[in-house]
Amino acid sequence: MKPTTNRATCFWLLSTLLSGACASPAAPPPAASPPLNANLAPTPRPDPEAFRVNPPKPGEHPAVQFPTPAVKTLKNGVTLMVLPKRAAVTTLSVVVREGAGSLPVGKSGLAALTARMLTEGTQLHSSLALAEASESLGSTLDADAGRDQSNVEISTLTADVARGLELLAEVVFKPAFREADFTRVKGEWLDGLRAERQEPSRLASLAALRSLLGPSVGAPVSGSIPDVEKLTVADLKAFHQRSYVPANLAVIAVGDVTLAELEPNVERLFGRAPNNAPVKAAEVALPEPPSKLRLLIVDRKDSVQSSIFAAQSFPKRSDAGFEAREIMSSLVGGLFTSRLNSNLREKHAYTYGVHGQALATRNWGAFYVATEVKAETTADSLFELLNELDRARDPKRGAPINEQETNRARADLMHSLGARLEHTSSLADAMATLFAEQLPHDYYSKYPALIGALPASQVSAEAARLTPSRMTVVIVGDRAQIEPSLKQRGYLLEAADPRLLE
Amino acid sequence: MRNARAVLAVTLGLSALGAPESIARAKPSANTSETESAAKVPLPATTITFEKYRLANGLTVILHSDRSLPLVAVNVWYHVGPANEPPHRSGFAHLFEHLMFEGSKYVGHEFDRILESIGATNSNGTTSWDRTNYFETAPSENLETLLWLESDRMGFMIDTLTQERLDVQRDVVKNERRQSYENAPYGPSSLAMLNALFPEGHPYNGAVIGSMADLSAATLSDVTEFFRQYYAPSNATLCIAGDLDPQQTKLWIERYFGTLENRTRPTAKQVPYTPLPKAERLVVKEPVTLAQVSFGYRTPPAYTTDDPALDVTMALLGGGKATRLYQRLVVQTKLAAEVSASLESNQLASIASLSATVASGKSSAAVERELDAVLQELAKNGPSAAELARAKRRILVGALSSLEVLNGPGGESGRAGLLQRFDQYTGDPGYLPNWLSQIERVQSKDVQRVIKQALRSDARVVVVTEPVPAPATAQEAQ
Repeated sequence: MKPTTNRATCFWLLSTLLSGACASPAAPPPAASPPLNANLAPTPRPDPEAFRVNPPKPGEHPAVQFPTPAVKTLKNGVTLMVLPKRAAVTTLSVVVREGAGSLPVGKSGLAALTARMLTEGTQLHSSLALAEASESLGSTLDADAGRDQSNVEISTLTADVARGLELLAEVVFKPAFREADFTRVKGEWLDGLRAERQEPSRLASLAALRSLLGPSVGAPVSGSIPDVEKLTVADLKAFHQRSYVPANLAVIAVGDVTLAELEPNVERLFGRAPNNAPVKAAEVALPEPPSKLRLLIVDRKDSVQSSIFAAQSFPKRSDAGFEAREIMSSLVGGLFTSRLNSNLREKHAYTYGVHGQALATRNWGAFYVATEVKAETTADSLFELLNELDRARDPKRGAPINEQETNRARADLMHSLGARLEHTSSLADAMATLFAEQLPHDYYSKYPALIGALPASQVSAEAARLTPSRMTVVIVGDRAQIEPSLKQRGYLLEAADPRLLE
Repeated sequence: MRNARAVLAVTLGLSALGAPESIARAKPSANTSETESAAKVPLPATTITFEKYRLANGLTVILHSDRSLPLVAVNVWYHVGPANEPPHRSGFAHLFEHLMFEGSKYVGHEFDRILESIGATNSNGTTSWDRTNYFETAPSENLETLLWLESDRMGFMIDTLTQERLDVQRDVVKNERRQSYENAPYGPSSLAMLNALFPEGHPYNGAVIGSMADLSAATLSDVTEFFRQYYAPSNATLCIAGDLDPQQTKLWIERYFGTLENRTRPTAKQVPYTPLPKAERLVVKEPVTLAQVSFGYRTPPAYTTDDPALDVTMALLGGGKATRLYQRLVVQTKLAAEVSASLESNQLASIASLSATVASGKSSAAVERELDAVLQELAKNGPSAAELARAKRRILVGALSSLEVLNGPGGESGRAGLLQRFDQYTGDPGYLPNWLSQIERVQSKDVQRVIKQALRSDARVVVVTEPVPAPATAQEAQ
């Protein structure tokens, strides 16, 4: 250890002289002196630490301004979004406004596999040469898809930005989709799907979302095993051709760069792609929501825990009230002190944690709660989980949504956004969301004010959408062990259709 | 780790599979490389400015001021971990970590509510073999509140702890053990690996999570004794990073931490490093679909001579698609569905591990042979210059990305995490550039040497996970 400085010791002496209180300007008055008649009875000495009872007042609130990106649309329709930030590393990303949400029936996994195959070889370079090129920049080319977007990203030293952009343009516009590479990657992908399905919590979410949303819309982004087995190079080429078109595509840069610096390179690399019109995906109808509670069991013998995933339909991303639903789901199941976590973990110790969230995509929404509970407590946990949702739903049940919890949720949402300012990669994700969901460019700048102004009554109105009595619940656990106590509670199980797990 | 939210959020299934290969780098580290491109590019600075001093009661303080964003991070490291647990109390240091969120004398029991109300993010605690940390990031106007909270639990957590609170957190931790190990694919295998790497008698024996029997046996008086002995200010380091005024901050530190009782710093465990005395091979049967093969090694302690070369070796083996294990096992032979290579650096012994998930229809024996062949080849011929440069550059960019944030995940990365990490293991919070230059100096022959010395086939644990028939429903689904 290095020697300490003298400064700390001086402060310590000073604070000792001030009888326990210290020299901080914010210090309250020293603890009261003992009363004069102290000799009548032994009076406890005043606690020198009593000042700690008073929480400090916050300092002056600095203005946290989430920046608005500089945006330019190139002639062929490609959007360039740049967010300057002092950083050693620049994150570059290409986002396409199409993902798994626009796939036809029977093609689950196609958007994600297409994204992955972009990095598995181009007309100019083999898969290995691409990997070597990106890794020599110190990064990997990460390609992925979500429901509403596909994305390729690379983080480089700012000095390597031009090379990074070249690599991105090459993989996005000139992928090779070679048969041999596809066969290899598909085999690897299918084993990845098998590995995912070893996780009990993953099985529960797979089955619940597919039961709720239907086999196609509810299929995971990574795909179902039978669908992926049937995918061909022709499928990938077709998806690439209809989705990766200039009007659908944004180039995003976050780091020590400006729009003016990047524009010539982006124009050269991305601005010459033919301006094909994007093909609109056919709308897929969602199944009718169930009229009563559905409990599906996936029997997993000798499980010491039961994985529970409860889900219901909810508004989609563009429906009014999105931010109020964020606050609602945060206080019900997102915060550490959320109603669900306080009950299932901190009060009853049924679980290591429980999470509830509103998912909202372009085409559909869902509210879900996920947890893994000790097997013996499955029935009690399910009861508490549904009961907690019902208390949030119905203010007459004695626990109307209050201002304190609403404030905690507001603070968490605002400051989680603020924390994203630290990281170029998080900022790039935020920019991708702006583009994919077609939000105004100043959406995040205005977000804190928007969240701050939402009254608790609007949050309650969103909670009223919860329908615990009609949810779809999947339990992955040891059926023989947990069924009797579930029955006692009136919860009747039906075996999950194995196709839900595919 | 106290908080499971991050883990649970992964199950929602909105995004596709992650990268097929992964490297769990327990230690962010960095370098400058000698590639052609590096020669052209001026490399960014990797120095973190800081001031280190000590209070009269022994508390070490590290301050890093950067006022570019109105955010501040607090990160407290107690130099105690499972290595300090008394016999038959495995898992106790981590159980204790949970109790630190249960409230304290003057603050009361609203610790998490207060943190959330002031907009604290990335708030958590983690336990590793040699240390336990607690951290949060908040808008900088709330720094004093963070210090008020952290000092109260440092000084007075024990005053409000009850049997009931201990019992609840004990059950929460048991659920964490079930979720992360007993009921998780390859969880039982990883416990078997740890038990073989650190058999009874080694301070790291028993895994961080501990055994169910030992968790059940922990008493309130164990908690009191552990607090008295190890949660002394003299056994802790407080790091504050971000938007702070050093003068004001020092006054607050003195106010909130300066009066905490000065207790003797416990002596650190001193156990000389030894590699595993022999090879061991374990077969663990689990309800999984895909077999897995893992190699585990006890390697030299954090930041000792061979640690940089081992870091580079692991980056040559895994973590990207142009790495040895991925190319050989996933691309060329197609024996594996996923590979990883990691180095977890610790005080008494580090852990190097290689792992491969066996592809459908392939044999674990073939995977085991291939992993060995890759190691032997690398030991024999060493990496190419380009390969070595790529590995170093990946380590560098990883470190620079980590420097972007104040507190990284787990409180071990980010600027505050790195300052703490280097202080814990080297005594110098500002060791990063030194570490980078050591990485830079790693040559092909160093890689060859550390494989021959530290990654030996006669001093390692091999764990093979074999699938047992899966439950009927899941089988039908395949």
